Amino acid sequence: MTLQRQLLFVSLCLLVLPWAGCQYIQTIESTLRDGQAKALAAHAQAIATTIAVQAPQVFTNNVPGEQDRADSELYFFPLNGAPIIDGYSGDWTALDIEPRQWLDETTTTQITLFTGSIIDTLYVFFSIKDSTKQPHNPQQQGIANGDHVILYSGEGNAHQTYYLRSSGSGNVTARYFNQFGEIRQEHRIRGIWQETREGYTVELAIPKSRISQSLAFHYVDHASHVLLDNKLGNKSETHYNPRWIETSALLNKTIAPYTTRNLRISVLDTHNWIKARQGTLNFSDYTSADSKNNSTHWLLAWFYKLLLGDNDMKPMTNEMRAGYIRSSETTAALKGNSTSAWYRQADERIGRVAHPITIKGQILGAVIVEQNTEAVTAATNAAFNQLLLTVLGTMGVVALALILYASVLSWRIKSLSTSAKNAIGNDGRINTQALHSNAADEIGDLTRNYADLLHRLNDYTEYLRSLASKLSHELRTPLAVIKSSLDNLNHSSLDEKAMQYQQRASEGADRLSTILNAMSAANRIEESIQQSHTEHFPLDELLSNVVNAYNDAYPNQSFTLSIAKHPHYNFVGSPDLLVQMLDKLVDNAADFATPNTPIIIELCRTKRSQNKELIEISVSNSGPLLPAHMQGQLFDSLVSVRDASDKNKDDKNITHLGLGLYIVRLIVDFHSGDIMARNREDENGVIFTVQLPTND
Amino acid sequence: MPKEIAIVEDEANLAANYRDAFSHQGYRVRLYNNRPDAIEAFRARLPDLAIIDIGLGDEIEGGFDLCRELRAIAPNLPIIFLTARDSEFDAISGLRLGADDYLTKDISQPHLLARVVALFRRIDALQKNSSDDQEVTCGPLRLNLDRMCAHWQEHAIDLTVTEFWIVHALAKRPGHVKNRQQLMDAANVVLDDNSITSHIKRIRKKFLELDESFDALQTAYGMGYRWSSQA
Repeated sequence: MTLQRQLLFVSLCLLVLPWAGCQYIQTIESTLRDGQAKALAAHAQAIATTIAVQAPQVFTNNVPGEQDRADSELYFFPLNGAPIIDGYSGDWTALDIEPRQWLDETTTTQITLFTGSIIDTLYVFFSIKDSTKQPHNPQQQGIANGDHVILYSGEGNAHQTYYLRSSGSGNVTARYFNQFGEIRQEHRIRGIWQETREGYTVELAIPKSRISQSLAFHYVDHASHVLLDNKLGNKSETHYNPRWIETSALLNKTIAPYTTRNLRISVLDTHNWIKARQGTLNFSDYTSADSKNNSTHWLLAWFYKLLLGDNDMKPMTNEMRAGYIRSSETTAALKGNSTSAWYRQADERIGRVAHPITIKGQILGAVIVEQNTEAVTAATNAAFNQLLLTVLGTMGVVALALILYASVLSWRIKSLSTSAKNAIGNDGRINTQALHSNAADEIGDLTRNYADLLHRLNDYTEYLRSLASKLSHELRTPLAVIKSSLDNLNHSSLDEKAMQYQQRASEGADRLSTILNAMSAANRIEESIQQSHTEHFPLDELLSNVVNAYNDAYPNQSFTLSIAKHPHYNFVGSPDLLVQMLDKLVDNAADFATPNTPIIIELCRTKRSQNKELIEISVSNSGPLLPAHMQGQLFDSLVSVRDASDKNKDDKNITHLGLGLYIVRLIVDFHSGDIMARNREDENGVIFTVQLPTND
Repeated sequence: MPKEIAIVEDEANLAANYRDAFSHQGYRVRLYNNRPDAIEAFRARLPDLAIIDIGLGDEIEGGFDLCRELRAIAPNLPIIFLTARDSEFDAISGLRLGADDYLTKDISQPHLLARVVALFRRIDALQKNSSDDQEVTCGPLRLNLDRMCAHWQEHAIDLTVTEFWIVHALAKRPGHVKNRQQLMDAANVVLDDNSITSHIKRIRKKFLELDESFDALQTAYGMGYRWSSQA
C-alpha cells in the first residue's frame, strides 16, 4: 500500500467527527427534553394539587367493591350533539369513538355497543348480531319471552332492573317490576328497536336520574329448544353492578386555566378512564411552519431522522377513541409515582408526564400532561444544521489539508528514494551532491544521513582508488633496493648456482616492478587527462587505423569493424586518450572472447532525446556473461570480475588489477560521455558501449 | 681524473648499492642522506654530477629545494632526479627546476649508467667544442649525437637525455612508425605506455614553442609515432 493510500485510510478517522457531533446533539436534545419533562412534571403537580383541593368530590363516587372491574365499566364519551334516536348506526359510526364489543363464541352472538352522554342523558346504541332471532311474543306470558335487553342499575337491595323487548321494529320503552311484582313501564327510558337482517339494533336515551352510579346490561338470546337463555353483556355475577363513567364538567373547568398552546391535560381516574381533557396538540401548526420557513431538504431531514433516531419511541395512540389511557407511566402514576415518557406522532415528539392526584395519601387518579417538542425540535434542528455545516466544512478542510500533507510527504519520500537511487549511477559512480535537504524534520535528517553515508562511501571508494598508486609509491623504494642489490651482485664473482638464484630474483623483481607500474597507471592517466588538449579529428579514420594495428597486435584474434554510413565522424577530443580507451576495451574483450570468434567493433551515430547527436562506439565479444552482482562496480578501481576459471591466461595477465575499465571510465568521463556494459541480446556475449556527445 | 658523483638519498641501502655500482664503473661517489649536509658539502666543493632523491628524510620536497639551491650555485652542473615518485606533476616540476633528467627508482642499473654516461658525454662534448661531431639531419632538424643536443631550424632545443633519445630514434628513420616499446628501448627506460605519451607531448611542446607550425612528430594511432620528413 502506498503512503498516500495509508494516509487516506487514516483520514477516514475523520468520520468520527460527525458521529461525535451527533452524539453531542443527541445529548443536548435529551437534556432539553429532560428539562421539558421536568417543567411538565411541575405543571402536572400543580394541576394535581389544584384538583385535589377544588374537585375532590369527582373521585369520591367510586362504587365500593368494584375497584378491580375496570374492563366491565362503561365509559360514556362526551358528545357534542344528541344523536337522533332512530335505530340506525350512521350518527354513531361518524363519531371518533371506539365501540365496545362482546362475543359469545358458541352461539356467535355479537354485541357492539356505542355509548355517549350529553348533560343529563346517556345514549346507548346496541348493534346485535343474532342468528336465532326470536322476537317477543305478546301473546305469551312474561315481561319478555323473546330476545331482549336487560339494564341493571344500583347496588344490592337498591337495584333496579329494566327490560327492553320488542316484537318488531318500532319504539321501545323500559319495563320493570315494581315492589309488588307488577310490570310497569318507565317511559323516560325509551328508544327504537330495529330488526335487521343479522339481528337487531337498539338505540336508547337514558336520563341519568333514572339510574344510579352503576350500570350493566344483558342481551338475552332466547332459545326455545334449550332450557336456559344465553346471556351476553357486562353484568357481573355479583350483586354489584359496574359503575359507568363520564367526563366531569367540574374537572374540565378546574384544569382549563392550565392549558397553553400545544399542551394537553387529561385527568384519569384510578381505572385509567379519562375524566377530563383540555387543550390540543397542534401538530400541523409546527410542521407546516417548518416546511414553509426552513424548506428543509429531504436529504437533511433524512439525516436528521437517521441520526437522532426516534424509532425507539412508541407511536402516540388516540386515547380519546378508547376513553382511557393505559401505559407504563399512567400505571406508575396511579401507584403514586410521577413519571414521564416520550411518544412520536408523524414527525413530532410528544412528551407525556403522569402525576398522581392524592388526598391524604390516597390516590384518586392521575393528571396527564402532554406537550410536543416544538421548542426542543427547533433548537435541535438548528443545532443539527449548524453541526452538519461545521462538520462538513471541517472535514473538507482537514481532509484537504491531510491529503495535501500526505502528498507533499510522499512526494518528498519518493524524491528522496529517487535521488538515493540516482546517487549511485549506472557506472558505479557516487554523486554526493544528489542528496541535499534543508528541511528540519526527520525526512531532512534522513536525507542528510543518507548523504553523509554516501559521502563516507565515496571517501572509501576514493581511498580504494588512490590505494593502488599510494601502495606502488611506497613499494617502489624497497623494490629499488632489491633491484640495485641484485644488479650489484652481477659484478661480484658468483658461482653458477648463485647466478641462477640471482637471475630468478631479478625476474621476480621485474615482475613486481611491472605490477607497481600498472598500479599507478590509473593515477598517471588521471594526471595526463588533466593536461590533455582536445583536437578536431575524424573518429572513423582513427578507428580503422587502430583496428589495423590490433590485427597485428593480436595475431590469434580476428576483428570486425563496422562503421555505420554517415557523412562524417568528426569529433573533438583527445585521440591519444581515446586510443588508450580502445586499447583497454579491446584488451578486455580479447581476454574474454571465445576462441575463433571475432571481436566486433562498431561505430555509429545515435540521437538522444533532446536532438543531441551522440557518437556510439561499441566493442562486443562472445564469451561469458557479466556477473549480475558486479554490474555497477565494473568500472571501479581495483574491481575485477574475472573469476578463477580465467587463470589459464595468468602468465600473461598478472597485472589484472581491475584498473583497465577504470581507466576507460576516466577517459569517457573526460569526454563527458557514458559507458555501459551489458550482456548481448543473444545472451552469449558482452557488449561495452561508449557514447560520446558531439558538439555539432 | 675520475668523475665525482654525489648521491643524495635517505635510503642508506639504496645509496650504498648505487655507490657500489658507480664505483665499479670507476666513478668516485659521495653519499649524503639529507639536504643540509649535501648543500654544505656542495658549497665547499661541487661534484661532476648530482643524483638527488626528492623525499629526503622529513623533508618531503627536500630534493626540489636542494636542486634549486644547487642550480643557483652551479648553473651548468648536471642534475638527475632519481625518485620513487612517478607522477607527471613531479616530473614536470623537477625538469622545470633545471634537472637534466627525471628517473624513477625502478630504472635498472645499466639504464642508469647509460644515462650518466650520456650526460657526461654531453658535457665533455660541449667543453671540447670539436667540429667533427656525429650528426643526424632530417629536414630542419639537426641532432648532434656527441653533444646530445638538438637544433630545429638552427635554433637549439633544450631536450633531456630521454627526450633526445626518443627524437633520435624517430628521426633516424623518418616516416617509420616506432611503437612505444621501441621508443622505451631507445631511451633506455622501462616505463608504461602512458609515460611515453607524456614524453612525446613534452617534446612536441618544446618544438611548438619554437615553431608554431611544427607537426613533424606524428601519432600513428594504435601503433606508435613517426617523424615526418615533410616539413
